Amino acid sequence: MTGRLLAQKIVIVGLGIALLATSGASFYSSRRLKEPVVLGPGVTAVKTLANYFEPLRGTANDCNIYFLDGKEPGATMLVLGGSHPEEPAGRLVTWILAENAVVQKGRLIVVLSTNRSATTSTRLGGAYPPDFSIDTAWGSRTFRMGDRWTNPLDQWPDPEVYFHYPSGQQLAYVDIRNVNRVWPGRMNGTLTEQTAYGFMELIRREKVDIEVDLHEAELQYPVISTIVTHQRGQDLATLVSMTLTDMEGFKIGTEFSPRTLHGLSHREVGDFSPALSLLFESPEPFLDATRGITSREQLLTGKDEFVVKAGQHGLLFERIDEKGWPIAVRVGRHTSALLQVAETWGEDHPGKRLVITEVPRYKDVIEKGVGYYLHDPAKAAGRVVYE
Amino acid sequence: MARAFRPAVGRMAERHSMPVVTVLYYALVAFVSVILIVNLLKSRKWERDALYVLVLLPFLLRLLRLK
Repeated sequence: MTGRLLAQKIVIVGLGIALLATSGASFYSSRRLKEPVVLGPGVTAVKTLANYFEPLRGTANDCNIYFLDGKEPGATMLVLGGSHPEEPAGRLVTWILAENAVVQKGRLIVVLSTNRSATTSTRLGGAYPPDFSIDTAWGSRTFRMGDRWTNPLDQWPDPEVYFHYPSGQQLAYVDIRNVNRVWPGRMNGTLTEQTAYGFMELIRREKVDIEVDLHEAELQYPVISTIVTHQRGQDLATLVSMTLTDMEGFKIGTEFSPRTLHGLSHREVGDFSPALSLLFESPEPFLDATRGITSREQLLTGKDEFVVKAGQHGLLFERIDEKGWPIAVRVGRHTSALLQVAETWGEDHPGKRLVITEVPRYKDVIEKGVGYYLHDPAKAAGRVVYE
Repeated sequence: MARAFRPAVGRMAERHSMPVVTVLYYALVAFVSVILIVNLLKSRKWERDALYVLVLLPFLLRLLRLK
């Protein structure tokens, strides 16, 4: 090897090592970013998913479970945020619940990172930002961006075709890492299947009455701005959507969970447990294939001229204009829908109500912003846990 | 009425250990990485050197469990 050739290789390998080091450091730190949760006055206990399914102990998906017990008995509602972490409104709603909600009657069980592993990676080739921040009066809170699927570092490889258990339905290969395609889970399955199995155990053991899975959707997807419900929750979901549309100034529809579409929470939780299963969808232009720059700003403002253009061509299932879909609007839709589910359930079950206070409704979140409801961890010694 | 749920049997529970297929995939990644490094050392053109280094990066990121 000549001197010139050696120098050439040293320079190129040196550049490669620099790229490896900088990208590796970024991936390493974003995977380990700590997300504080200031336990609100309503939190009475924090457990982890391994309390319901021991094989998950110590894994990436041994997530925290927050219990908010009411002063009086009543219904139990489980709220799942972070099934798809790259749909941040759902996670932020669960943060607001954990840091603010007080339950007067019944019990609230809140999960901020349903697929915790999926919060630790971003989409390959998607140019996602590694994290995003919400401004508050005391500073800002930074959250992991996350992805739709379990981090491949925790579950790999994927099969050629994913066969859902127990239905045998064939799904896209990558959905074996999608927690909302593997319900009701499998005791001896993959990490993602075991995670769903752990949640089914929680639902059965804690006698959950209502399970709500919080999501967001691209505007090109027909299931958007809606409540998807198992057939046993149709009356409840329909009444909730009618009330919200009439009283709160935003439109939200109802979709019925197809009986033969398997793996989703609104189908399998309702089929395999006594709980009513609902799934909320709010609009997130960040997920649209026609989006422009995939930035933190776009994620939080929902403004995107290219998605607007798609709308002008009639390609969308939800309206969008230059105002976009700000995160406060998306979060507010979910908080109001949750509160309305509790209220409407109580009207049907006067002996088993669920009364939740200190949670902002749609107009409150828009007026004050999401950050108003996130509290300063520095002023909450002994009341901070991490996701 | 909720349907009865019967857990599957027959697949090993993975717990903290890596499944055999994952170990095999990591071995494949290591094998391809070695081939790329050998080719990098043999190559005499800088364009090929740069290409080998770029292709090698995602393999090393996975081997080091960074991405």
